[in-house]
Amino acid sequence: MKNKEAFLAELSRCVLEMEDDVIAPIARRYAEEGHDPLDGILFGLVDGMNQAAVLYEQEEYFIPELLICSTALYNGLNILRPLLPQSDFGGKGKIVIGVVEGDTHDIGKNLVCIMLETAGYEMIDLGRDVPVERFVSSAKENNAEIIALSTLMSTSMGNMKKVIDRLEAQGVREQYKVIVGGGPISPAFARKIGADGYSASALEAVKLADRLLSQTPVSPHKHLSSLG
Amino acid sequence: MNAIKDARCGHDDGQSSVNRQRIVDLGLPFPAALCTADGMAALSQALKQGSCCHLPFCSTVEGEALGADIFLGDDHAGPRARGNPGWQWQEPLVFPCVDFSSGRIGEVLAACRLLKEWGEFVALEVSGPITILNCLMELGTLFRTWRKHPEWVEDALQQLMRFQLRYMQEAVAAGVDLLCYADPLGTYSILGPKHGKRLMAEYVAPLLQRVEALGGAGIHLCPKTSLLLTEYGFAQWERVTVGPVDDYAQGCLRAAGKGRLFGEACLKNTGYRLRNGEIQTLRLQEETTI
Repeated sequence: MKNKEAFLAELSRCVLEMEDDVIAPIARRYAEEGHDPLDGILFGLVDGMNQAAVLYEQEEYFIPELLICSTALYNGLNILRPLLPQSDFGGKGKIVIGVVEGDTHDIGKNLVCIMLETAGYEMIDLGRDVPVERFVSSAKENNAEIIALSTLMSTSMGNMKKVIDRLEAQGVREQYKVIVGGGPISPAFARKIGADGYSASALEAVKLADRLLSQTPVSPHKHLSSLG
Repeated sequence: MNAIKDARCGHDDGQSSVNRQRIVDLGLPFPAALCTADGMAALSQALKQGSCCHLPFCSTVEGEALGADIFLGDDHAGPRARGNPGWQWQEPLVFPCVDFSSGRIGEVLAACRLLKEWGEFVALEVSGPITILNCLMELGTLFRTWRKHPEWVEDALQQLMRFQLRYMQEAVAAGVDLLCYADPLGTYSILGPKHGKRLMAEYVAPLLQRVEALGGAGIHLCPKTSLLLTEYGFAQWERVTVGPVDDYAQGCLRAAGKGRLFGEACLKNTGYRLRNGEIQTLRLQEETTI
């Protein structure tokens, strides 16, 4: 019988080393042996994803590696998350995220979504090719704090400004922070359209969200203690 | 490790969007302007900036020919994939037999012939394998399969290369002056060094060697692709004198014969100017190994 620390190290390693096809049984055994599912998520799965994110920043891992790491993460989450009480995860804030209308490329958005979720944000993922009004209506319905817009295509960039214009037209611009990112996006473009921030990578998106919501980055330990 | 700085996209002002409204504003019918030879030729001529008429107006033509479900667009944006057939490694992969005289791909080639009859220079944009495969399967599935079951992806790339070569052969026969290769999802910033180099070795370099052997049209590469080829030793730059030209595309056309593979700048960056009447061409290395 493995001890808890050994399980956590194994869960972390499976995410980091892209072992997406063996992580689910490990997560299941971890839970069956009575260990805390939240610890398994934060100190196992999220720990592995954070290490993968560091490798991404160091340009050791790129999109292909991160996508498989995230598959491993979600395979483990699918086992452990249903065991959590409702309120135990995603309390830092709500973010509506999607790829703007006209674009169906969502790999960047998916990675940003994963990193923000593992950082403790509740993500409302609208998917891809999302109409302008849906970003606005979803932010209102879910009382989101941030609207995150992504595109890989220069031909869809204009739809980012349309989201901001729609917020202004409805008199709710000040209620939401709007952040943008993607291949053709730049800090200059973000300023030009009146966005609140631009992030060049999935990891930077976390720092940006934290900064905009005036939160210092929270370690898993602090995240735990904040739950009371 | 020497990190490469990816080439910057050269057309980031959204001017190339062909949504429904823009087509109607040009006095052209929608969706005919995107799926008939007459319509596409007229639209291409109307949108022409610089020396060449460009076709098509999206990166979905090849994916559609191979089975992707494509939505031709609306007032918000142009053509894009609505869904994909969901290719998986568990199923033996057999590409459909494509008839290049029918469907939207056939109309694109017919539009090329029309533009040539109208006296235009024609640049045909062809997509790279990652962009095409993204119309046919989820990218995460593709990358996972490339790692766990590489033989399936290698087979897919071989079949895709045969399809692309046929398409480009047909394009050359239609009179296309420039074959413009770009793979927006197959760039260094997305793939990284390992998969980027692998893509160059297993697909791009072998494809280009075969396309060069076809003769006829010049070949222009997105600078993000030419960067990967040169950084990983699959090609090297050589300068060719072309004299004063009106724009970069004209420089590529004029250089044909002295060199046929180009890629120092984005062809859609209409503000780019050659220096000293010289253009850079790419010479492929003879052996392509990882």
